[in-house]
Amino acid sequence: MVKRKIGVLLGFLGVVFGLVAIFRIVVDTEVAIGLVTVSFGVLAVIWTLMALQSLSPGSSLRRYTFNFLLCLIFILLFSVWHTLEKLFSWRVSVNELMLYPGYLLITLAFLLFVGTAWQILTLGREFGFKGQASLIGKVIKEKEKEKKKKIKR
Amino acid sequence: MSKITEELKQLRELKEFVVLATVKAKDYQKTNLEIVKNLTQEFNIPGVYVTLNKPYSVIKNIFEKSKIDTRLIIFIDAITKVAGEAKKTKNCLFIGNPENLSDISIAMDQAVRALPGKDKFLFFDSLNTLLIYNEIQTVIKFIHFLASKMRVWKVKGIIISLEKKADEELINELSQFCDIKIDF
Repeated sequence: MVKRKIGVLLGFLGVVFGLVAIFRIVVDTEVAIGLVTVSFGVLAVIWTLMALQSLSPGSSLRRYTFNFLLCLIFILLFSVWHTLEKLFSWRVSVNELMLYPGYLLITLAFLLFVGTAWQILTLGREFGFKGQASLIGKVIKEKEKEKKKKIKR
Repeated sequence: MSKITEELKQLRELKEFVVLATVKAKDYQKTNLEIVKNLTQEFNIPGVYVTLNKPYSVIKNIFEKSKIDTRLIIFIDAITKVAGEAKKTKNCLFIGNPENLSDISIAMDQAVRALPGKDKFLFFDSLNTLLIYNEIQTVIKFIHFLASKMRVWKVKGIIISLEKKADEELINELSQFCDIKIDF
């Protein structure tokens, strides 16, 4: 437990120092923010890939995780594109149209998010037992009433 | 009083437990029925019945013939084949594949947490069927996960296994994760 707490603390300190270093080295705030988001995005993709590997093939959760991974990849690609475009000023040096691939990537990411949200809605319906649980609650109450009646008799 | 009723009566004092119940093949159905009957009628508690062995339609019929109140039970059927992903009917969730341990785990977690009241049971039928569809190491990991989850959920947990010479070592290894091993 103590080891875990020390690990979390060291991890947190590492992230803070990393952020400070990025903002010190990279003078342009927009590029610095871009680098930070890309690094967090990479971490998110790695964790999701690890989760995907440990889930049972063909399971609903694995399918959901895969779709979530696609969303993350598109958001990450958007961040990478946006950061590179800022870093090398492609809109000025190449063409104004260099803005649009980024828009395309973020649009695709949101379309995938809609699909994934629909999937989580169906998962919630399939794996949610609220309806059955409230019926069971009623049955238990009925039985308790019957028991009390019997005792009174 | 039968041995099962006697053993369960002793367990009644405990609020929560994880039991690994080994049964002889010839007594398998009778034992299952008696345990579930005890839990729903004597203990009067709701629960989750996970079947990897017989389809829900068959189990429901058997339970109803034995006058077990199936209204108190949420069934999770991992053996009936379903098209596509998991499918749900009134009181059963069909997973469709006994290899799909991720979905079985989520379904159990959701069902147990949804049940009303503090006292509830989880009946896992059976360990041997799990072994047919999954590798032995996966089964050991899964049962370890299940036993620790049962403690978190604070349920009366029963894992059924057939008494087999071939699985003797595995059962001994698994019994260390459980509170009690009962041979019926």
